[in-house]
Amino acid sequence: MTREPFAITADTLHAFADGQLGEAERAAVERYLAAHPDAAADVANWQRQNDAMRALFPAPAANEPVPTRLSPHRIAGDVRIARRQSVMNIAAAVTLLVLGGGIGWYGRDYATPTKAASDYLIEAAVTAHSLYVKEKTRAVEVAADAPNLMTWLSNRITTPIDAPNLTSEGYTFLGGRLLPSDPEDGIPSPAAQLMYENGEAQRVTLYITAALPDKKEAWQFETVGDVEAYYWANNTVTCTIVADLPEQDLRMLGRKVFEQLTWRAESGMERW
Amino acid sequence: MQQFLDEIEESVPALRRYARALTRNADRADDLVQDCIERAIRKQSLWKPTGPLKGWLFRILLNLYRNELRTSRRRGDHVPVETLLVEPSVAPAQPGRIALAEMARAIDTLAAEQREALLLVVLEGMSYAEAAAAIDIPIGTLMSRLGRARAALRTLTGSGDEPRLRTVK
Repeated sequence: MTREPFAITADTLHAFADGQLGEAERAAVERYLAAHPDAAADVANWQRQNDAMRALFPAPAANEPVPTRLSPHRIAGDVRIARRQSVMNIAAAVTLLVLGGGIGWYGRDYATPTKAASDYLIEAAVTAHSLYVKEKTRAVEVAADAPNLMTWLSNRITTPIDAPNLTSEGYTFLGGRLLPSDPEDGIPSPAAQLMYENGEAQRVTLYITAALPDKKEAWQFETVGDVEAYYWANNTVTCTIVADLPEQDLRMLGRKVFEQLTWRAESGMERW
Repeated sequence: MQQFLDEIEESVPALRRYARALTRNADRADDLVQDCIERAIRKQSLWKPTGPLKGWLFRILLNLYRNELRTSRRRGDHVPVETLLVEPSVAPAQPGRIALAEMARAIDTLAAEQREALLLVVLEGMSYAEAAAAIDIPIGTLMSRLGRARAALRTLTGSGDEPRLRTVK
């Protein structure tokens, strides 16, 4: 029996079935399969599966016309026009915000009185997220590179924060904005919204306020509409992360955010 | 910019094929591809030309697809019984061939992550490294998803029951 120059593993067999091996490896696998009927049956089955899948989902025929709406050149033209209109969209967003605030104010008697402050925070975080992540070019009020952005936000929300660095997770800090909150909901300070974006245009926002009066540590994970919200609070700060991400990814991101926020809040306490 | 758009254009047929296999619906597939192209154009500055543009496009497409899936699951939309793009009307002629309708049903029951991985490798002929990069997972994870998907398909299509030659010692 010839000894093969490399180990033949399940991965090698898959690569063989998928035609991803070089000449020498392929010959080695063929010799191996000749001696191992069980493995040969597996590989033959996988290849039949591949054939069936390719037959089920054939490549578009070369002469099949691609609809014009899928032309990148045409879409690029649409994007240019849309960018020009985005100023108008911001005006519309502000109108919505004012309207929403009004409805919230007059409707507050109808709200269930048992709602915890954290529920209001999550709700506000999701509303703000949904409103601003849609903005293509004006998603943030103050860009990340503006001087004193975080000092300003820290002062306004009355607790020291730094923008967590999420580059290891692939997210770039875009900037932030200050948002009002309602003391009647038990939220003592305004909120800072920080926005991040990754290379695939996925956006994540952090909605940060000073600690609630009870200063208790708390965690809460919720699905609201089509986004996930991850709320966390300690004795200095509350933060709700909102993203359209699988729960597992969001928890991972949450860990990064909370570590950095806690560290900043604690190291900033003495100075404060 | 022109070159960037031309390169996207070259990937459109592959994106459509993959989107069709994922959604089983030609219109939804084209919607996804259109969104994908639009995002790629808007986010052109974020593309780092270290890897192939095609992989990046597939990654965007997958993200959009997953987002859409999450949204519709939560809304409890009724997704029509899958519109098969190819409706096989005759039983398979050769023994050992897998009936296409059966295969389609089997693919449907796979875990989403397994389906995404398997279709990418099989339909696009992407190398394992490219496919892993497009799905944004380590290559080992890709291989284990591939292995599990194939084992599941084999059971589901009953094609594991063929007589096998056993080596007798």
